[in-house]
Amino acid sequence: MKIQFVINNQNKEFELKSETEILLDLLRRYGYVSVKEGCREGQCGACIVLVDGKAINSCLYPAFRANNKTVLTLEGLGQENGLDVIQKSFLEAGAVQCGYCTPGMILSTKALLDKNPSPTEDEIKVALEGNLCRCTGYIKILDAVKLAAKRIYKKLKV
Amino acid sequence: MNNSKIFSPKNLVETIDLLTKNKKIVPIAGGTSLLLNLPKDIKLLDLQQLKLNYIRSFNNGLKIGSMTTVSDVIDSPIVKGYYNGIIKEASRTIAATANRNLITIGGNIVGIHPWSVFPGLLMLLEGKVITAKGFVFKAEKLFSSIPKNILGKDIITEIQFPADKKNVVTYWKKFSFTVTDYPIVSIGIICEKDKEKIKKIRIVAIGLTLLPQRFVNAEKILQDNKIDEKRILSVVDNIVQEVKVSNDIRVSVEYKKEILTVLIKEFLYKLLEENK
Repeated sequence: MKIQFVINNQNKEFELKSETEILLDLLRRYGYVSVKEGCREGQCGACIVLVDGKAINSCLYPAFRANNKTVLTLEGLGQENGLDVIQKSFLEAGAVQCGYCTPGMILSTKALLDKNPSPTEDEIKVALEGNLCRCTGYIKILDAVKLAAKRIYKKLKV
Repeated sequence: MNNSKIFSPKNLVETIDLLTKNKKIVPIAGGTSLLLNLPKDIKLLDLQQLKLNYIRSFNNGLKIGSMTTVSDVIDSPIVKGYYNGIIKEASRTIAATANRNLITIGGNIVGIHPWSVFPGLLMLLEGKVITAKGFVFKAEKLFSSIPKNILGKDIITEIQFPADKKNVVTYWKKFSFTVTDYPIVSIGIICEKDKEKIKKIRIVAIGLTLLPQRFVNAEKILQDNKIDEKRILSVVDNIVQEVKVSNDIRVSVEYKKEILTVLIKEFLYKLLEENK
């Protein structure tokens, strides 16, 4: 079965291994390795991608459902000549240690800030509540999201 | 890999026809619990094209399409004020954002788990469940048994909540080890007061058995009565005697009962305080 969708701003065709293949496996087979394999049951957030702008756990998402939709992985966020403002904020706030949860964290942040550029701390916690990190203790991740929000909000106001 | 096929019906007639004619066919709504436990050689009935994603007000109540996601419910301005926002508050206790963006209301009901919130909410608020074949189930009837068995070759198309009431006290509390974990127990209470007397009260719990439980006899102790400490203790005793609790690998049955009583007492003592 073949499907097509826009991934990281490019329209591409994908061949499913089976109709029940999950999006996580499909994306990793096609080289989108920023999409991390974690619990495979929607509990850790390592495989989060954006589908039509919404954060979803790709381990629970049937790949056929992505047909004609828009998917964003971390590969599509930064440009070749520079990082996205959220990625920069994560680096500068020291919110990355082993890095395994970082793609999911950054994409959850992107979904939040696209919808709400000036979130409260509670709103940040809700947006990221499904992203587990075993290194940082979350404080620096919260700082990073606040920093990114500040930068994006400032840009929007200008 | 299995040899499954996907069917994407465009209307309800086609959906029922496919369900009836195919033995090994499973409806897929959000897919979050289905894909984890999918048997081999199964056909999928994708409900996404059926335009069942909507939230509407009607007669001061609510109609929610079965393919509406939990996130859409949370974000809905219509749902926000309904019954003091209890639907929104309870929906927020389902999993995490990235799962709530996928989980549908229909899936939460049909793929029932002990932690399914919508069966409990519907039972609490005296809601109804509508099916593609036109059946209308009162929540208490549908959740008296496993909904999938009652529905047979039918699908849920809509849930309905009755007209909003403003002068009610509502309470929804989930007790779990982490924010996104399945509840040890969740409690929903709705209470109509007439000065210091309780005119009507409904108490529902989820997380204890597969199906939600309503504590009718405990409600009777409080109904048409003024709340006092003696009645609170009598309610708690009654609930502990009557509640059914299934085994849970995380905690003992006694622990669940204890948490249940703590949550109920929290609500009732707050009511008592307000009367003073």
